[in-house]
Amino acid sequence: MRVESQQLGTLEIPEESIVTFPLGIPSFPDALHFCLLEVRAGSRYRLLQCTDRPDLAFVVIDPLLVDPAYPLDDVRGAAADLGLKPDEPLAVAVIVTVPRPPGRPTANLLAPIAMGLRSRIGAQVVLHDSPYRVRHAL
Amino acid sequence: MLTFARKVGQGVRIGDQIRITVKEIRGRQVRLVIEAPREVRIYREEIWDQIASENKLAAQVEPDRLNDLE
Repeated sequence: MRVESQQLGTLEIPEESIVTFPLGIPSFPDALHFCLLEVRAGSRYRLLQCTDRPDLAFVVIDPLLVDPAYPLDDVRGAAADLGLKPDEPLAVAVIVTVPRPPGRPTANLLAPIAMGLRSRIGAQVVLHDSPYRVRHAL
Repeated sequence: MLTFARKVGQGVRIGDQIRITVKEIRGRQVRLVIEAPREVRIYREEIWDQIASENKLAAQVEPDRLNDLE
């Protein structure tokens, strides 16, 4: 299907790559469908594009690239209300805030994005008991 | 919007499935127990605010900044 992205233009993506976020994400409760797009070959960043709104997209990164000890099991636990099966593969990404220069990018390790790869359901979850914050320097 | 005064041990019900009970009061701190179905998200308010704010900031990435990222 065709996806419009203000960042990346018009793209054709397989229908099955769309992930539904039943509750949107905090501040964006109406952003219900997202897909992950490549920004640039070889880049460690990707774009989580809302397919309902071309102007809404988030730079994301694999949290393991930020902190190799990132507790993916805790993310799965926090995502329990998504109804994922225990053996369902989970994709985890964290939102990156890219401020104007001279600001440096930061990653929200406190509230990762969790997506069930089989169910195609996702949410932003919170690692309540972790020491992480919404701005982790990259 | 409703305001209730509760003593330790007393609670508030929201809808059919959500219950908040005052478990303990120690000095200035109130300990609340919240019972809700699994799918209801529960946050400390300041955490929710932080996440909501940060999401709004993060959504403002400009196309040219995207290319600067390594």
